[in-house]
Amino acid sequence: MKRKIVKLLCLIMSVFMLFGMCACAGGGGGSDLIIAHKQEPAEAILTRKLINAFTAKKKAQGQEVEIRTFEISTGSYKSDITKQNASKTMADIYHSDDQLAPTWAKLGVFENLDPYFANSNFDFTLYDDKAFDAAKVYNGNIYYAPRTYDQPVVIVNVDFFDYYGVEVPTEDGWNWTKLVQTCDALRKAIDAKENINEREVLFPMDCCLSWQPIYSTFVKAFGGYIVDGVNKTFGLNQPEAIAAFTKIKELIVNKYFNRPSGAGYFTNGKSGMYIMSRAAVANLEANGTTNVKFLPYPVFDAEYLGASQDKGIMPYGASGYAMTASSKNKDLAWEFILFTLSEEAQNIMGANGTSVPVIKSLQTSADAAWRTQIEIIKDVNQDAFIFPDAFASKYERVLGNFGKSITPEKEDTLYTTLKQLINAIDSAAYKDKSVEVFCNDMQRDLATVMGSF
Amino acid sequence: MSNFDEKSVKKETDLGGKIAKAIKDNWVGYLYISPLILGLLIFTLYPLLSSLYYSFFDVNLVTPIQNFGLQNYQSILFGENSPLFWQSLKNTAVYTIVSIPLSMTLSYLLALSITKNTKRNYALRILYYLPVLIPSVVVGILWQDLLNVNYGVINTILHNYLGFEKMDFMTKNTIMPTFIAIQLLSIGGGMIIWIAQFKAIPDVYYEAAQIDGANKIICFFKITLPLSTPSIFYNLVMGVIGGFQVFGSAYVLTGGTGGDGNGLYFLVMFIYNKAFDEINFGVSSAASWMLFLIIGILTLFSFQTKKWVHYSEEM
Repeated sequence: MKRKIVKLLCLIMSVFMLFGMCACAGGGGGSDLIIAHKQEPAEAILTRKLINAFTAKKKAQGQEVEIRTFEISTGSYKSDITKQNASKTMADIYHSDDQLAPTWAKLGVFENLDPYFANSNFDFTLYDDKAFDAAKVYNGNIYYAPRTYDQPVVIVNVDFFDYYGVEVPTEDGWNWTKLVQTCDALRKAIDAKENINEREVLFPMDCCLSWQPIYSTFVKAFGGYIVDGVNKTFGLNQPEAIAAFTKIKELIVNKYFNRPSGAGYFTNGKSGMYIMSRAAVANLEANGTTNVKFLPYPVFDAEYLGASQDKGIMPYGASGYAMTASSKNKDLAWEFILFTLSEEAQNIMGANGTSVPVIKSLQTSADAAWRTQIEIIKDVNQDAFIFPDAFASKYERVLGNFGKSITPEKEDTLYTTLKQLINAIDSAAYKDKSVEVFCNDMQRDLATVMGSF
Repeated sequence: MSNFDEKSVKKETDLGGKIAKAIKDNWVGYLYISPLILGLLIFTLYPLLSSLYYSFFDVNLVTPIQNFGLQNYQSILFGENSPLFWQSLKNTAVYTIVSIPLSMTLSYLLALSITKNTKRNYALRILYYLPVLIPSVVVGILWQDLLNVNYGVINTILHNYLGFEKMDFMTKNTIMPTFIAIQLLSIGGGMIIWIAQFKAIPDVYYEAAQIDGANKIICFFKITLPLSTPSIFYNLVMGVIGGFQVFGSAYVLTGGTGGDGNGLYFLVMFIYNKAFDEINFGVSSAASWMLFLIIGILTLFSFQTKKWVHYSEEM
């Protein structure tokens, strides 16, 4: 009897252990729609608000819908989508942007939304056209519906300038020469007032010079290129790129800008200015930076370029929602996506203060939620975050993610490799070497990593 | 009437019968090991064979598998992926050739110094072994902060307290030595194996040597070192296998980019990035099998040339 009981227990244990090895497949669990987004608290809150508003609207129409969300780790967004696709557990909608979407558009994972827009008689004229340009990530077709628009601005910490007795810059004639002059004045004031240790951690400008919208606009302004999709080459060792990186290095060597690999100076009150996109305003109050103004990304003036005319380049991007080709409820998914482009949804997104809407009327409206929601900046001019008509004569808008001529699957590798390479611009290895040597090494190393495209 | 049952005897003597009898007699034991066997089949053998299959096709796990051929191998050996593949192989080889002898020597000397069973040595063994318990990813995160040129602890001490210039440990000339130095902190793992080996050497050899007038140095070269060769061989083979698979801490330390000048771009990083960054599982699988081949050849070579290994029963 005892032996039989022991044998039975062994059998039960083995069966449990076998079951323990079985992977549990994710699934809809009965939901009408699943929306996937990055594992960020702000994104989770925003998505839930949009879903609540959408389901309330459907309920008013007599239709009950259940929408579930699915969070994906930010660091493994791409590989997680690969795994979900392989295991056929894709969500219906993914939050995406012009950097993430191209791969999935090319592989047919994301649905081409052009027919959906056409069938809905969608009025594109009401929206910022560049936001939709960003969403045309493959073959000129729209693969995600942009919900928010992004362009970098210069955030000025007015208290910082007052403390060091330096005049706060204004938008009049705002260009790179003026920015460098401002940095120079601030640098001198900091060095005069602070001890040697403090000077090392204080910078006039906090800006990640290895962020692709920044260095790519420098190279473009000097007439160069990073990627030539037609001839399939990189242009880092061309004279124009060398000139651009020479200017970038000067900003670091003169300690106007922090080192590319450094971060957090502005948010810690150690910097007078910050070049960043709208997301930065979320933490201003928490970081004690309550007296700010916003200036647009500077124009590359002729004097700075050593050229005959100015060149204004405004980098931009947009993120939004993509529908998966494998979605079993495309009609409802499209309804939700269309809803996110409505004024109601755009106001919900603007209500967190960190998203700029894509509807033109809300972008320019002085009472729009995105301008008024954050108390400390509601009375500050925030036109620097959009592209008003006044900018059209000064700037050309270009996508901050410039690598569209690269094979989509390699675009991420391009940006991460360039970031790593540019971070070394003032390292011990290149401190005493010319920028030409640095650029030649970058060209060689980038070509090694990227192979052909 | 015969008691001889031909049918049952035939049943037990043929192969099928033998297997059936074995299962019947030992089914409890087989049940115990079935999760392990199934796990090996599902999570080891199946992926192994799948990756071999994938290495001959264009695979992205999204579109159907297509284009059978040697294009992936050709691409990594001679084609568009070859510069990065050869650089990653070179980095891996340099790392293995430098770090393995260094770590083996240092761990051997460390073990020699704390072989005696004293309280002090017990405490030291624990201290030396503790870094081995830290996961490689955590090691990468920790050292990323410690080595930071602006605010890292090491540069703060060097610059603020010792008056030296701040050092950039992550340039293309310094990144490999820095990484090897970080990995040397884990010599405690090898140390444990050496200590076990030293304790397995019979005391009678040392007693006989002392009677013959041998001093400690002669005892070391004539007894300890030769009889340590089995562990040296084991550590060497395992070290080479581990060295060629270095990945976790280097990936975290460099953010997956291999660092300045691709200085820490190792072979496994190449495999990982091709798979999960570029969604190119065909090339990634081909590179995995190249790595398997390289490790296999080196291991085989080690076994073929192990005449220098002495086992105590041979003495």
